[in-house]
Amino acid sequence: MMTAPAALAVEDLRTEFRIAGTWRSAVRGVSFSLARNETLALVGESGCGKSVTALSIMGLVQPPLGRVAGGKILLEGQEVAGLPEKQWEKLRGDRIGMIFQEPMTSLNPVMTVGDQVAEALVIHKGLSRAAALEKARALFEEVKIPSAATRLREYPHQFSGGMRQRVMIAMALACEPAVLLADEPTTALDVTIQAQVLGLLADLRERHGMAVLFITHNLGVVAQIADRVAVMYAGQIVEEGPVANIFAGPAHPYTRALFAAIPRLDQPHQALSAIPGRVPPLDAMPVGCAFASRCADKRAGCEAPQVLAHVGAAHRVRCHVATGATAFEAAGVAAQDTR
Amino acid sequence: MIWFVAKRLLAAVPTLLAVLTVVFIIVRIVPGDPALVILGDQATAEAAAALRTRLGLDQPMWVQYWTFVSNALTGNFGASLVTGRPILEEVGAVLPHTIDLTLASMVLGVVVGVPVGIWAALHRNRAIDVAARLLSLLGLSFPVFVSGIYLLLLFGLHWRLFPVIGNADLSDFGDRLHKVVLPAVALGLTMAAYITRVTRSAMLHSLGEDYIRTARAKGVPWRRVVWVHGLRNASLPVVTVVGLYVGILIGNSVLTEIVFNRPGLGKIIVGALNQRDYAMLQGLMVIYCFLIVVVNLVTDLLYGVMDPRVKQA
Repeated sequence: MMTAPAALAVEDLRTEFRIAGTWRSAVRGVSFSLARNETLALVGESGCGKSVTALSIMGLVQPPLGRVAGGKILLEGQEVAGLPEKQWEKLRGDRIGMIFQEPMTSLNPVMTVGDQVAEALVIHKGLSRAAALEKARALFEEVKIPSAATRLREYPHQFSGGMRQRVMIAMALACEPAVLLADEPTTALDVTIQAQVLGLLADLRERHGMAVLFITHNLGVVAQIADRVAVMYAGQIVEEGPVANIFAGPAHPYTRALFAAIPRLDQPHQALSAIPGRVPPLDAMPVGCAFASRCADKRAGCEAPQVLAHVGAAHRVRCHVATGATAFEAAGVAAQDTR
Repeated sequence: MIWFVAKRLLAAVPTLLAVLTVVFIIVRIVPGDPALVILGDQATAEAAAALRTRLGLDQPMWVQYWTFVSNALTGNFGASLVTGRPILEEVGAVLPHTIDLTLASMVLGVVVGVPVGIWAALHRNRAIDVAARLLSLLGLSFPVFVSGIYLLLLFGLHWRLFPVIGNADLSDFGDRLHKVVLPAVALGLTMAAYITRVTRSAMLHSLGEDYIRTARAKGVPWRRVVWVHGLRNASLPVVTVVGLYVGILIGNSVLTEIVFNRPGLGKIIVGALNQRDYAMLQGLMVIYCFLIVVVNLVTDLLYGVMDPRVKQA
């Protein structure tokens, strides 16, 4: 990585929601950076703050329901947290795009898909409707929607789930954003369609040199698409590192539990493994490790606040047990890191 | 689109036949001999028999049914028993007044109700929203005969801006407009109140949808998000309600017509009731139902224009 600013850098992001009159943090000091042509997978179970992180980066968490209470969001070096809405509107869809989980409901049912893709081009690039539709047709071809020219004039209900997600991708890519946030873009799709869409996303990233933040709870998808992984738990990143390192040696007990919870096809008659207990609710977040109450390795020191510390060159973990372990263990992970 | 229109038109045919059949049956199961009702208790048997023959009541039931349906479909509803004029002519003379009133109230209801509803939705639970909800509740609770009389007292008698008697000269557009204002306000305010509520809830629903988030994520300015993405989706339930309400307006115009002393369908139906003009009543029932069917048909067609999913179904 050179001195050019990261496509996206998030520092100590803190997002809060108002619950029964009190502001509670759903995202508690998340930091990461994302270079051009890089994919970072943000992994974690439902409700851990993945989507809220993405929506905060889009400037879509707004009072009175929620607020970005602290931290910096640097989009191509420009601080965007706290920008007035008018300026956000200029950035959204232009410099930063987002794809959502639910392609069935994320498209406007009473507008042709062509117009929905063209809209961003008219707004941000000042194209005429005809020129924007022409560009939309090219985009449809790029995301491999067959008979693009005729399908442009159709409505979302005439598309299958996979095709709708392609429309969403075309829409997000229309203005060639530097950063693409993909919030579980394949979760609602069949497995075969899922593979196609993942392939397409990887392709497009390559071609446009975008930075992609890929949010998922599916570790299989992570292995397929990501360069780096950040595992989130209860609003914090608990482990971060290159895909290979995390898959080879998950260090945080939560990450290990996630891997253990993947059912194995090669072992018959196993019970599905689950992580006991539940995520602490937002209004009862412990000071120390949020995972401690469910952790098999819990010991003295877990009740103190945990910091993200290196266990390898680019591999960091928020667990005093993993990072403060014997020098031998840490060195072992580090050695793996350099391979 | 042509197919869609054709299908809707075809679907209206059985509805109309059902309406005609029900009206036919109702008139015949009402107790009492129509001839005696018309002629009175003192009538001679010969006179009653002569009238029955004239009305076709001595024919077998299915012949009567066939005559009734085929006459109705060709616009022949018979003649009023009181004035002797063809019913269609009687109705045609007052229908423009009713249409004036209905259209004016509808336009007023939509022009006031839709923006206020959107405004309230955008300021949910704040002062504006609470005020809009209170006012619409008030509007809904005010019967036309109360609001109408207040309007007459203020604008008709006190300030003398509008006439208190509303029999307009149909050939004079200005006169029609001038005389329809007060009754349309009385009738339209209730409708505006109703539409405000429907628009507000439809708008809140639509603004909470995923596609609104998508639109914002591509940088669509908020104003356009509301008016293009939000309103186009919210307009579907609003159109349904307007369609339903226009039906109600046609039916309920009678109170307004009495308060403002306007001619109209409501007035003649009450007149026919009081005078036991049963031929007139039968014709009016059919015409009313025809009007409602037409309004529903127009609503349906509008739906097809506004929601691409409907055309396919």
